[in-house]
Amino acid sequence: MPPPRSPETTVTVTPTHPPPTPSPASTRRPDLDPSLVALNGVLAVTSLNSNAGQPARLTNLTQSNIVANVNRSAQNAVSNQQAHSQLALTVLGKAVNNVQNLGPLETRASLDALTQNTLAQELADLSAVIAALGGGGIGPAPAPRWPAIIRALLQLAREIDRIIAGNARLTGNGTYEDPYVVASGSRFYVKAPITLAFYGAATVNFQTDPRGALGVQTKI
Amino acid sequence: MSTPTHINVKQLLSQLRQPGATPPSPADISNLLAQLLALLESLPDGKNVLDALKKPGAWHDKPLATSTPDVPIYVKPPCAIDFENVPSDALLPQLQNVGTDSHGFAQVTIVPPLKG
Repeated sequence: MPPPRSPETTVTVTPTHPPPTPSPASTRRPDLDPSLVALNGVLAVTSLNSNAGQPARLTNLTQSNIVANVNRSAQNAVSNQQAHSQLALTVLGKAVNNVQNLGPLETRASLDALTQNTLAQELADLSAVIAALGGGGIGPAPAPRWPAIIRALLQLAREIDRIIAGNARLTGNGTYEDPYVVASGSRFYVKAPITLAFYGAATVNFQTDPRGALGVQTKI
Repeated sequence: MSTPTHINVKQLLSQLRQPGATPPSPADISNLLAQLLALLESLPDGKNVLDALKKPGAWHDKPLATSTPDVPIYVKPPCAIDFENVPSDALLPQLQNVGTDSHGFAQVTIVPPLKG
């Protein structure tokens, strides 16, 4: 145990040469316990080892990251390819879904859709369905959906039947060669201004329609 | 729309409806839908598809409209004619001015009443 220093002892040290580069060993304080000095040296070496090994570990970490990144890139490439394929299927699936998702209430709605301004989209979807069915890219829609599709098409066919029957009430095209012929009990609907010639009749008699203001009965 | 196409669609639909029949193949459905698509694509865009199928003059909501008085519309009497935009009080005076066309048939020009 060294003797305690007196507070009155003062040593003035003036450096004549540049101080030597401190080393871990030179940093030891002579007043420290040797065991602490030894411990300090161990810590310094350990710290030096730690600091010296850090770049290597960083290099290893960087390389590890690169490897991981390359692996992730490969995974992304595969994932993107899969996503691209899935996107194509999704686009096609949407088109098929528009036709398949027809319930009892949607039958009328689908007819309305066909008769509204969404025609372009419906046609595009229908084109996709035709391409899918014709090209064999996908199989037919699931069986439970076919009745709904058929119902919608039948509804459309019935409406077309009704229109065809209504069109049959008026034959001809209004020319001299093919004058209009109005079926008995039916009416010829026109909008003025219009010039009418009554085929085969030099004179005609007109009678106002008893039902209202807009009708006129034309007879020979 | 041509009648043969309509008949083909109906035949295909009838085939689809038959219980116990052979399920339609994708080619059958493709054929059916292709016909339907051809029908729809033949119609003008942005118009009511089914209304476009209606023959002008045969429907109350689709009257025949023409503004060419030099080319009369020929119709065989007897017939009943509805004027969509001419009330009876404006129609009757015009029916008094019946002329003749180049073939000697009775001809009349009807114009809508002036507004205001």
